[in-house]
Amino acid sequence: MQASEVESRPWATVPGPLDRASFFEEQARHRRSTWRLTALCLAAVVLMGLVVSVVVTPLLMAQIGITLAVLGIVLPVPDVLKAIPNGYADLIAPMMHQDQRPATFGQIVVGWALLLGPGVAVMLLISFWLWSLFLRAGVGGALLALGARAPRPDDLEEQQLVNVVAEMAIAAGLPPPQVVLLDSDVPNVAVIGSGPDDATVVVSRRLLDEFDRDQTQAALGHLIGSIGNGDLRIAFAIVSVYQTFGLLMTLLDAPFTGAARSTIGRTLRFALRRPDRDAAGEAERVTALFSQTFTSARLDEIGKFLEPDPDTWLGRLDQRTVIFRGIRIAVLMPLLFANLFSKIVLLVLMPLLVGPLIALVWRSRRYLADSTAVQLTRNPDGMAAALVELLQKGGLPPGSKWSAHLFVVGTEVAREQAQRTLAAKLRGIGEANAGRPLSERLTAGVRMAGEAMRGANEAEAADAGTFAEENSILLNFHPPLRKRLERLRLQGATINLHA
Amino acid sequence: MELLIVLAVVALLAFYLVSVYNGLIGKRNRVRNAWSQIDVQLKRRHDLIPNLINAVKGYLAHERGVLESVTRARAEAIAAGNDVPARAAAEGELTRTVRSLFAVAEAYPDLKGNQNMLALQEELSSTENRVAFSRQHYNDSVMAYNTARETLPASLFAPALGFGAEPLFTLEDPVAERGVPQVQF
Repeated sequence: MQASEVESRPWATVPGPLDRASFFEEQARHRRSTWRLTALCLAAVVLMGLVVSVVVTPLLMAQIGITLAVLGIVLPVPDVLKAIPNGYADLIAPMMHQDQRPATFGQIVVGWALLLGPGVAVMLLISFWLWSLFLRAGVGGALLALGARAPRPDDLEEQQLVNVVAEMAIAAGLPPPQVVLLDSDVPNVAVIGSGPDDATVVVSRRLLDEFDRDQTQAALGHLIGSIGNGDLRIAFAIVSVYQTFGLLMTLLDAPFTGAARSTIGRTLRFALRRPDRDAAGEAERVTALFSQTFTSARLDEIGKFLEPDPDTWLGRLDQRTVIFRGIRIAVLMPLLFANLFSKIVLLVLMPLLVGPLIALVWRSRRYLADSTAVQLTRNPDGMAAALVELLQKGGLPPGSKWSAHLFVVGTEVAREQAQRTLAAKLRGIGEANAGRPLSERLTAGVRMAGEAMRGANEAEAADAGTFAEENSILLNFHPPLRKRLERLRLQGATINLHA
Repeated sequence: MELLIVLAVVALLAFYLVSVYNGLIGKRNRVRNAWSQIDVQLKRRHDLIPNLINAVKGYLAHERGVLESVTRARAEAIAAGNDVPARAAAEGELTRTVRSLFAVAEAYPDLKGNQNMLALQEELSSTENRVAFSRQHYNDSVMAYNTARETLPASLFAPALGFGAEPLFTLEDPVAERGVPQVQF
């Protein structure tokens, strides 16, 4: 090999590790860390559900009471119905007045059960319903809508890809997943579906041009290993946690905003329609709508309900009959409180507690898939070389940001690339102005500051539109590539980034 | 109360043993399935070879010897059936003859550039990979099964319940198969 050829390669050869770990040890290690993190994650989700339940349940009961009382003015309401909110209040009252007469153990148990029970039951119902509704669609369905096509039988490279996929599936003991191609000019590859039986591998055509067979094999080994490890089900479980809280909040939004009502309508239409080709894509788009409930636009809409624009019909009605506005708000007050309070709880706990844990679970699955790729290909250098290549040239095909976590590398690559370009630019400006007069160097300094800010914004923009970013999860779902390469080095890879 | 505790412990123990037993069954079935996969891939190779011969025989009229040796090796591999040592030897021979056929084809520029030939070459090398990967999967499955069988607590009852050790797939004649390449100038 010529010296220049070695220079032009994006990686460096490093000596093997002294403390080498077998890929089986490495897999066991990441499986253990998945278990630990999943347990923490479950605890956090349960805690959040309980906090929301404890607030929402009594407020909803109060809402029922008020609604019945108002209805009672114009309609005959049976006393049995009226008795429900009163009975509820009586049963939880002993806990609220502990200073007057200590509540008995039985009263405390009944009180807590009534405070938590209905909310927990509703949330479980919602999540079971969503689980059964979306499970068939799995995850990543929207990627198929980006112009995915079957491999061409007359294209040798694409046939080779189909073969590589089949080989890796045999190595993993799985049925071969379907293969589709995206004609995109950034190399990357993702896996979508709901499990080993209906998994589909989505490959960007550019990957085939950039990668040699070993690298393609490693990247697909990562994804097929991840199918075998059950990651599609885990990804689905992650999405359904967000779906459950998202739909709950959308339901609480429904009395106040039209957008929430139309989201619910779209979900029901999805539930009723027959499964067809685009069902998986529609599932994903509906899911994306649920998270709209936490946007500031939605809060503005609720504000509009309280104080409508004068030119809307609601606004005109409010201006004509001032009392109408008072009644409207007073009647829906408990629901409004329930809505805003649970939104605040979720907005604090989701990004601070649940989000990072979920991201860490997913990261441990990425390391696990890396070492599964090593097991399947028995070639740690293939995986390492694939990651280095993706760090240089990889990215996400346009429109695929929402599913970034299903790709072998995600937005961390774009961030890294933006930082690199910035560093090169700054070095360029610095070198060009070295030894110049002070005034010129000062101007250059200002330019560098401008570039730095632009670069930082660019790196920031890399994450926009991903599942993580849309749900305010600040941790990237992919581990930093350097760490992945480091773990591969322990498994015997001799390829790493240039220092 | 004591009775309840004893019952609970017995139930837990039974549950644990059942899950260990089921784990062994699952692993053993995986081994069997992996074994049949090897056969599937070898069969695939046998099916591809007539296509290969048809594609090249027009060009390689002067290399009748090579073509015949490939056909013969294929016939022998099929004839060997389920006799494992004979089969392994015959399959090894088939691998060698197909390789020599491709080596000969290198000398014919028309054939080397032929799309059909390239596709067939890809198919055959992929099949070689599949055979290798199915063996690897078989050996990984055997290792998982044997480890589970030989470690506690399964080792206490596995032999009694008929969980025998499964053999690893090894090459009959490792030195010949690994084939130290002969480089001559």
